Amino acid sequence: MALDLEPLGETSGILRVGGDVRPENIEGYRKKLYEVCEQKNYILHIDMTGVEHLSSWAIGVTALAAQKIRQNGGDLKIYAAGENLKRILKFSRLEMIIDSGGTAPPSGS
Amino acid sequence: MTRLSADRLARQDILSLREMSARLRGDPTLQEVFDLFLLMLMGRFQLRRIALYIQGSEPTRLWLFHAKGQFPSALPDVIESDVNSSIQQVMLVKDMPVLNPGGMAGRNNLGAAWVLKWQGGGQGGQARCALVYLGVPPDMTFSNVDSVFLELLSRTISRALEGNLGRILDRLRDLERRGDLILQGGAGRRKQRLTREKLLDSRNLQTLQDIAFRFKSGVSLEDIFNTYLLTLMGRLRLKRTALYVSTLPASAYQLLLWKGKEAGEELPDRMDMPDLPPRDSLWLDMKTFPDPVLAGRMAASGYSVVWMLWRSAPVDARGAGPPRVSPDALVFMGGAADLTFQPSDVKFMEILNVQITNILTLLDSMGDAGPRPIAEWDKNISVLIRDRAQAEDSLSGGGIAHRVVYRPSHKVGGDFYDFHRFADGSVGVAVADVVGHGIAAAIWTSAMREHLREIVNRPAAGSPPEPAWVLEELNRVLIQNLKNEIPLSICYGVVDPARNLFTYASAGIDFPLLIRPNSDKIFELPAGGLFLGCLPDARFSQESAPIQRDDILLIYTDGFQPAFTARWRRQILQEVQGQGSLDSLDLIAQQLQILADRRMADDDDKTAVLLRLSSAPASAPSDGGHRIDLPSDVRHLPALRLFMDNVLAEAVSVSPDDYFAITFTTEDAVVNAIQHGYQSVPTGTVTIDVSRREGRLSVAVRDAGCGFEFDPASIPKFAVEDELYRDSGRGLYMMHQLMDGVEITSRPASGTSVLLTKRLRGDSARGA
Repeated sequence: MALDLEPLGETSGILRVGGDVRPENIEGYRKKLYEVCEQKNYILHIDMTGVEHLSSWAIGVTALAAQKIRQNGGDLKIYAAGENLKRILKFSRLEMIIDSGGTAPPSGS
Repeated sequence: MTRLSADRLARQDILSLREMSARLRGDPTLQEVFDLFLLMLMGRFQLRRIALYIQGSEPTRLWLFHAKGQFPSALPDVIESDVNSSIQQVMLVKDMPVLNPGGMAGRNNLGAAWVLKWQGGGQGGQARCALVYLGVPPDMTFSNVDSVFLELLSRTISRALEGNLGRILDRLRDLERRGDLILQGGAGRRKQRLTREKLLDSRNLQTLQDIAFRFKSGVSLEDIFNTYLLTLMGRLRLKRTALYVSTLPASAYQLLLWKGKEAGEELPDRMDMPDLPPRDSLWLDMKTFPDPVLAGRMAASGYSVVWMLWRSAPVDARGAGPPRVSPDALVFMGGAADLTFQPSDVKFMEILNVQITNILTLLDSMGDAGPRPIAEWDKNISVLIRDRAQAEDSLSGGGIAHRVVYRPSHKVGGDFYDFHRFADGSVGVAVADVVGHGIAAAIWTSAMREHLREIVNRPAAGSPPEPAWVLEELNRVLIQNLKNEIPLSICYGVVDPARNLFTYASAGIDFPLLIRPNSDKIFELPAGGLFLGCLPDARFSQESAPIQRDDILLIYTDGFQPAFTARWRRQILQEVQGQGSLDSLDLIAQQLQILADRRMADDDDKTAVLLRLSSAPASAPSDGGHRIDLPSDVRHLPALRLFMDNVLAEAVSVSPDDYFAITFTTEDAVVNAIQHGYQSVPTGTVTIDVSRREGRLSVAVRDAGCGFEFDPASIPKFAVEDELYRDSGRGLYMMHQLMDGVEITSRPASGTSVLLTKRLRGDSARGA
């Protein structure tokens, strides 16, 4: 799992996850998300390319991160989710609160 | 990181830690302990700087004790930091402001801090803390291999700091004198007291290992016997020893070597002993020696005991088997007075003798004459040639056909295999790999094989024993050895022909393979644990896999691993399709032999054991259950995934949707058991049973953890916005969404059981 944060500007960025988020490696994912969510008015795009699985723990972390970032005036979006991941987002109802159908943001946005 | 790279890194870590442990076994000063500790970390993580702060008498005050590398600014001598609030062992400084008092870590580019904890020395010793600042980037991520290394290193250092060193730290009032600290008196590094017997047992293994290392670069026959006699003299405090070796005729013996002070008459060059007692008498004193004249002469020369070395196969206890043969050598021993042996002395000699005779057995004849009298050998000749695989008599007629392929990379090797037959007809099989090659490893394998046999034959073992328990016991033996420096990877399993079951556990070895000739894939049988000899409380997962009549089990050491590519596996499956079952076994053995004989750049010992039930009914895959027992540690989840993969691959009607539902919810149930049942403490066991009946698949996940008062009404519905942002409860919710049935039974302090059922709807097998 890569967890690479690419800034798009002062208040937005792309978090490239790069691999499945499972109980064994969730700490890095959680820390990275929560670190970003503390920032004000931040728009976070999560690139789910190559992610086939999010454990229910990771789903909960993502949901809480979305709440935090929105409370701070920002937003969280997901893109490039494959079919397996879309199924997880659907059954976990995470798709109700996080837009996952978008495309990669243009650079500099 | 590829699996192979991670494995190699893990092996290097273990060797580094072993070296460190060995260097800490003298009487180190605190300075030396922490020097080594910090240098180890710097080398492992390629650090430019590292700093160690130790808690003083006030828990929030830490003193700079040691630092290495270059720092952009001066490190403060004292920092105020509440390390007890830390939630993890390794933390990034930017996540925990408490680790960056006054900005000292940020100014000095110390991106992470590691909390080291140990129990202070003596009775009532306090829990102590230290903070190790690591010069890593601020967003450093630590891999699983890194985490395991840090945990092992932490334990090594904690052990060194308990006892006298810890007491010194407890008494410290002024750390400015840290460079002058010298350990006073003996170091009691182990908290538990050693009995004399245990200490002698440990020294036995240490001595035997010393022999192993002495033979690292090759050995001649003379070296072997010289070392043998000197070892006996040192260990048993003998004044003299004399070695007579077999010659022709069979009852004759010739003096080969003697050491020590000769007393009285000269030793005879030759003796004829036709009436030596049978093999089960390994030693005699001069009073019971069959030749009274010779006995008197040897006694007059100061020898009171003779020990007999038997190289040939033992006589079967029922009287069948080969006729009694003469010992290969007689070892006369003399001490200050009449010798008496303690149980630990006898045990030492038995193990040493097994090691020596195993080497002698491995000596091939110069031609094709087979085993020869030792005196016929040129004593300067080097130990040579490999042990060819021999059919094991213990498996014949037991309903199990087998083949073994064994090729050491040097003349002798660090791999071993063994079979154990049990009263119920089941057979235990062990395949193991000692880290290392050649004589050193070969001698160590002898000791380990003897210990393994002793363990499985204990009355408490059960018949057959639980494989995970066997590994835990063998691990305890290795850990208790004062100088254990050779980790062991092993798979131990029990094949039960009556129940068509293979129950197994493994440690640091590649997963066994299940080759099903009429299937389109070779199944890996997952179960995992760390190498033996690394952690005192290591746990090992145990799994049971049903096996059918034509199935072939392949258990192998990592010398074969590079050759078992996907292409090779496909080729094997193609070749065994349509073959008779015994033909398949021979065919695979031949293919393995070809691989074994092929020299590779990074050559390693190669061992493969093939097993097949010869009498199990050729039925369709049964609806019988599969079970895996996992330690309560998320690091074992990969074993669960492979287990579920293999189980579901057998079922012909699992659609992709069903597969997703079953695997997702099972893993969630297991994670809940680990996190909530056992509070993430890795000493518990989570049992997963999978069974299929009448088109319905059931998964039962059980733990013996703390349990809870389960209220079905408490499961969130994720229907309103506030609930949708919850960070917990999704696992249970998704179980009810994805599965057809969910039954949860739990009571406080009584563990939890989760039963998940799914009606299998798909007609096609799961997609790739």
